[in-house]
Amino acid sequence: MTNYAVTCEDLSISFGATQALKSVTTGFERGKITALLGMNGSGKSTLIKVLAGIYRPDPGSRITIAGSPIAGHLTPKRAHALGLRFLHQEVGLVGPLTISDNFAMVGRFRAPFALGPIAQREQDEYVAQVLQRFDLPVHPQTKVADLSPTLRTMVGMARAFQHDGEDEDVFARNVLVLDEPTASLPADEVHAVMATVERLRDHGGTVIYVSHRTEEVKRLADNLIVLRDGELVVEEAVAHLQIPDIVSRVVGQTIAAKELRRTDLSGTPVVLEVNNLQGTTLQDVSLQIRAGEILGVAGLVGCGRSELIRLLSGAQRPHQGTMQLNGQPYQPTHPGTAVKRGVVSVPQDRRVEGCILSMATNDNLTMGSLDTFFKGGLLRLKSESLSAQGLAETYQVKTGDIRSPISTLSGGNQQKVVIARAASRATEVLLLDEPTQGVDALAKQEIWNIIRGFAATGKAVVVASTDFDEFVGLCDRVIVLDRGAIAASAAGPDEITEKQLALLCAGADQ
Amino acid sequence: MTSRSPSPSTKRITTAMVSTITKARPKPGQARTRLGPAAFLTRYGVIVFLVLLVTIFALLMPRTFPTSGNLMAIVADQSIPIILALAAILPLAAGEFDLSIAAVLGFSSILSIALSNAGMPLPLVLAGTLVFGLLVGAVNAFFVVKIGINAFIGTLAMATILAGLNLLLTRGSLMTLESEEFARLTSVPGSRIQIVIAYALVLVLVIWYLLERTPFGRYLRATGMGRPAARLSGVRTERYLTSSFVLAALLASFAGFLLASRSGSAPPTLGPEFLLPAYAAAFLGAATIRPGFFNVWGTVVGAFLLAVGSNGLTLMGAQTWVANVFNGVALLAAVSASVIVARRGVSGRT
Repeated sequence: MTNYAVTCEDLSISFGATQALKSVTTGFERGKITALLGMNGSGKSTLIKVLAGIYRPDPGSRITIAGSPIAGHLTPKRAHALGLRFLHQEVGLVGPLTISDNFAMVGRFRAPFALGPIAQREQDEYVAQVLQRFDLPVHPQTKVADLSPTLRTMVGMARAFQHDGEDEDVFARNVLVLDEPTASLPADEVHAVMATVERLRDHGGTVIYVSHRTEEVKRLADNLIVLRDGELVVEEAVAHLQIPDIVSRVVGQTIAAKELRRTDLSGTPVVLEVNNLQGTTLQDVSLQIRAGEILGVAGLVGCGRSELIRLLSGAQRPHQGTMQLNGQPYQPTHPGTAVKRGVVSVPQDRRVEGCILSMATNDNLTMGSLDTFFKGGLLRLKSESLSAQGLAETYQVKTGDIRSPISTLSGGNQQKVVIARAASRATEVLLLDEPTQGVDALAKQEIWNIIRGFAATGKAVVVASTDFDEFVGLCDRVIVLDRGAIAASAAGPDEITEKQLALLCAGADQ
Repeated sequence: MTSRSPSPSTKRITTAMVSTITKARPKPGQARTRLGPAAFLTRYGVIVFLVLLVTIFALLMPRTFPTSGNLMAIVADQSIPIILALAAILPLAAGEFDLSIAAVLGFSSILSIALSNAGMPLPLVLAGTLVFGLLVGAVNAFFVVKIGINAFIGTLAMATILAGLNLLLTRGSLMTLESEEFARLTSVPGSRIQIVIAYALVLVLVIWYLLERTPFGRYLRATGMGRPAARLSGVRTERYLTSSFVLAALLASFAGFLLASRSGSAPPTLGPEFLLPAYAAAFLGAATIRPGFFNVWGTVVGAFLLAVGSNGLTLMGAQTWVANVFNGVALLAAVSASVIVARRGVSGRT
């Protein structure tokens, strides 16, 4: 019988009408690396959040950890006590503190008695021991902020396997969940992280490995679990699989017929031209966007997608490179100057950068264009609110009272507000970063229609996304960024398929 | 920069946008929805409390409290603190604290007495004082917006500097105003008429207009409530922050000018005692009328709530410490109540 560290039976979870996980029954083998794969929205992060005790599954779901069924609800505290450790992309280490202190925050500070002084040497010696077991050449008194991102990730992993308390057999007990640990790391250092993961397993540790990079999965994982649309579709050993096999299991064979609009755009004028653009991640990116074109920007986390949008929208200044808008030099120094030139962005983080949650829906809709309603020394609140109402109707925002805070709207409708505001002011280029992240299927279609309609008026659109579906359904052309550079591009319905994009993004050759 | 870009297409599209907007039918029944009892209490709790307090004191002391003399005195006494509270809510609306406003008030008061006693005509005294305020505001803005230091610390440092300059200017002793003309700016000698109320009323209206009826006010709030989103949608958040500090210092220096006229003298330590009442009124104000927003009328109500409380208690013969305790408790209670109700509103939604 297989020895499972964690199992789920009939695990379901619903958010309102949408079912994020549908009766998933699976297990994570002890002492093995299990890769958890799936497209965006497939439910893998939901599954992880259930294990972390953040989401509460529907009644009838059963979770077993270390052989004992979980009675009642799993809370973050209980998950921790049961040995589940989570390493997110940000790793969760406190930069200004030393490695030693970071260990103690999760474990405990060594002290001679309760409330006694910290036995720093003892603490450091212990931490050094753990670090040594992982072959990490760092001193416990090093500040985390001084470590490279790669070392930080590895220290984070080591920390998850310190023994807190009497329990000595920490490798046999703890389960480490790694959420895309290599996503933002340089390629030549990824192998170091993978080596650490392997070392962990060789010590008997259990690892759940979430990644989009199929070649890592192929190299590391013993088992493969694939979710698609909230359902478990694949549960098998990795050994006999090849990379394309893995990709096709993730993407699935069904590619629904979608409305594809691919007009020949070679004759239309270039709206935005970018030459040798360089930012903190971006390196030497050159591209042209034509009138009426919807350009997709794909790539893994940390590839520079969002940075490209920020550079184009004036939210960040490039280190180098030039941009031209309709043949005129374009050097936005502030989002305000970009807006004046008709280039408006919809940022990725809706809740922080997109809208002001505590302000009313109409305030959010007219943000930045209030001067239109300032006549005779008064802000014409009625015409402002009428105009907002008009925008809300045009962009199909479902709102009860437009004067109530935007936080009362659903995520999809909040996003439509942000897009309405941007699209109504973008006279040249509309920039969107993850325009449909976290919105339901219907709102997604509506947002796509808005974007298509916008492009159809002869304006240019750039869509950065991690959702391949979005490229297939929306884009005329897709560029794939890899660590700041354009690694590949695809154009037309034959090339823009989920499978092809997944291959391109995974860095595998075609 | 050669940034005026091809306008024909721009214009066409903007007008197209506007026309779709104007064509859209307004929805009927847009009028305010009725408030439930909980929402009513959130919005008007502080006012209800103020009315209750006035009623209770009037019933308890029918001969001393509800007299026109006493009520006029409360309003007049609150005029300058209210102007200072207006100075506080501008940076607060933009999401920052300005702890230097009370010190600006103190120094301005001393400065205007010094200028007047030196024989300067009144308009020049006013101009000099306001220029000083402008300068302080600009320096505050420079350090907070340009250099990027925490506003709390930056303005605290400014307050400390000004406290030192107070001592320099007064040479450590009480300064007395010599000009009677200056004194007549705020009250008519030998009568009960308190002109100072008019200044406060005008400024209350001006700041209300600025905050509630101009794009400036809306963008100022946007800067405070969601700076990244405001910036990314094209709002020049740095400019709004800067103006909020400059306006705050201007208001505070004008309040100091009025204080010089009204009190006729200034001790070398003048200023700090005005800081907490201003912030208390601002936060009480944010708990009423437009809960969650620093707003002018709420601030006025907040100032009067505290003033009525301490006035009534003093008239009843309570010792001075009672008034302080009352003010502190009232502030805690009102702000907690609004936070609790607001939180319930949020969780009830999901």
